[in-house]
Amino acid sequence: MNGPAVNALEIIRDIYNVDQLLSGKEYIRELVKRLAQKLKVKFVMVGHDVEGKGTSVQTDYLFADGKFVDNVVYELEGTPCTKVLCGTRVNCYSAKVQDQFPNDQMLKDLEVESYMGAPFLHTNGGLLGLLVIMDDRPLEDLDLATAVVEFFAARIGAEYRRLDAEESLRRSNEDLEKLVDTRTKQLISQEKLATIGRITLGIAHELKNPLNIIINGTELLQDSDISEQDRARTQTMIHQHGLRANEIITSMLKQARQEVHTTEEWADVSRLLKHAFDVFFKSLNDIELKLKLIKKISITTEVKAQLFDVPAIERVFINVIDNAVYALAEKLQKNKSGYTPELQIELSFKNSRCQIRVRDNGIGIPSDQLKRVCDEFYTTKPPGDGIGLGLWVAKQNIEKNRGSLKIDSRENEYTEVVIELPAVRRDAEVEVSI
Amino acid sequence: MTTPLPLDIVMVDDEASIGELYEMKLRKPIQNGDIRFHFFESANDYLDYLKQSDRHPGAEVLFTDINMPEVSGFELLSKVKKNFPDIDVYMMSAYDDESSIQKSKNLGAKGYFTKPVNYKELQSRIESEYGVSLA
Ligand SMILES: Nc1ncnc2c1ncn2[C@@H]1O[C@H](COP(=O)(O)OP(=O)(O)OP(=O)(O)O)[C@@H](O)[C@H]1O
Ligand SMILES: [Mg+2]
Repeated sequence: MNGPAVNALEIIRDIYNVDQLLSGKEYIRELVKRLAQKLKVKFVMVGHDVEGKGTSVQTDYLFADGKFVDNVVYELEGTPCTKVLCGTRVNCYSAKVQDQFPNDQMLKDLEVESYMGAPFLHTNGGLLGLLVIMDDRPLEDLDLATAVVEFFAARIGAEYRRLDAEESLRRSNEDLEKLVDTRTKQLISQEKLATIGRITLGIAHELKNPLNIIINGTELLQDSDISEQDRARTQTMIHQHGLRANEIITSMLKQARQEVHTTEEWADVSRLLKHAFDVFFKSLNDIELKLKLIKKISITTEVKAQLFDVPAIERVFINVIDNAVYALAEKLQKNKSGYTPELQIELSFKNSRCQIRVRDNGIGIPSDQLKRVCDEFYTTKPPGDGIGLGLWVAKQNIEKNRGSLKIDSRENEYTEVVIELPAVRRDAEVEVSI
Repeated sequence: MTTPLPLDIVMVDDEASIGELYEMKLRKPIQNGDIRFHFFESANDYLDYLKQSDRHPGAEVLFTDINMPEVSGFELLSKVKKNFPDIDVYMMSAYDDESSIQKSKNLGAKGYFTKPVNYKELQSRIESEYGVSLA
């Protein structure tokens, strides 16, 4: 074996023998330092082609005189690096490199005498970057330096490609996350609007009550022979119901608002559930069902819970009730006689948790479909009746509030939804909204 | 039709203020002893009352809201018609759709007023049907 080849191998092994736990940038940094030390050269630099244009280089590692120094960007024109970037192999000026590149200011400033550079490439063959060693003396062992520089250019290139791949994976993950995020927001607001649509009729009716009183009350005030006492009473009523109408609109607007609620607030779950039912029931057009329906409502009062996004929880209740009533209506359609639709709504409280149970004796859910009902877009309803987001959104909202939502059903017999939430009862002194 | 006086006018509405308003509106005939006014906030309250009250057939008229929690006006209507067929029932509702009106007719309602109820209309209807003066 001849001397230089053995020597090159030894040096390569020596440089290569870095801490194997290092990776990526740390690893390249260590290689750069060792290259300078083992090859006994003053400068080592690794850089990449800026924007793939082949006109300038940004250094990523610049080792000079025994230490790393600030990175630089430099124009390629008139520098030996141009030649490196043009080729695919090592380019070398073992002495007097400044004579050949008289316009290269950096070579002058650093008093560079010898230069060797090797490119590293993208997998598609395009240029990625370069490894350069420079010294203020002529290069002595050219073969050895060539072997080493070529070897490490390839090695560093591999590391660059790996970092690049990781980075683009991270970026595409991020993009994907963003996309999922936007899409989810869109879905939730779609569901929100669908739910609000389902109760607008009820809200209109709710609003009509105070308005009727205001209208009839005003008419009463126009009677000349009304007593002073009755007049005063009527005026108070008109005022009260005006405020009530205003409150109804305010709470509807609150429902329709697009903002995401990130803080918790105390809510009266009893009232929330009752209101959800009332307003939904008032929106119900199906007179046949309304007439036959047996309602078993048992709502423990004064149950309070600290909730994120109170309007969203009311929508959960509305959705679950909507599903139940829909299932009852479906079954009633098929069994005009001999079937009594029944809806049970229960709120109970035990061991600092409240339980909301909504049970119907409607069409039920086939057992093989039960697992799927909370899936996004799972629906058995025709377009216009459902989009399959009710339970999906409901489950998320309940879980966000440290609760659970479970569904049990038997086809053609019953469906029961049980929601549990952490809660308190009256005795706790809390400020309550809604 | 001659009606034994006083006429019992019953109103069922989950909105308590409605009762108060009509009581004020009917102050005079009440004071004159021409009518008695009863108000119930729920159908069940009225049904309970019916069970224990001592009634003269043809002397009682019911005005009921439709949209009420628990027992709806439709249900009340059909129960009253079934057990007390001599009580005339009028619906008072914010619903003004054909199917609600038709349903009420089928169940035996004598009339249907949409809310806000025009008091003059209501008054003349009662006066002509039952021969009492509400003025
Ligand atoms: N109480 C129930 N009885 C029978 N089937 C039910 C019941 N609740 C849910 N389901 C089934 O689960 C499916 C999904 O319900 P989900 O509320 O998520 O969506 P949806 O009601 O179809 O549409 P929407 O997005 O309008 O709520 C329903 O289409 C229905 O097949
Ligand atoms: Mg639904």
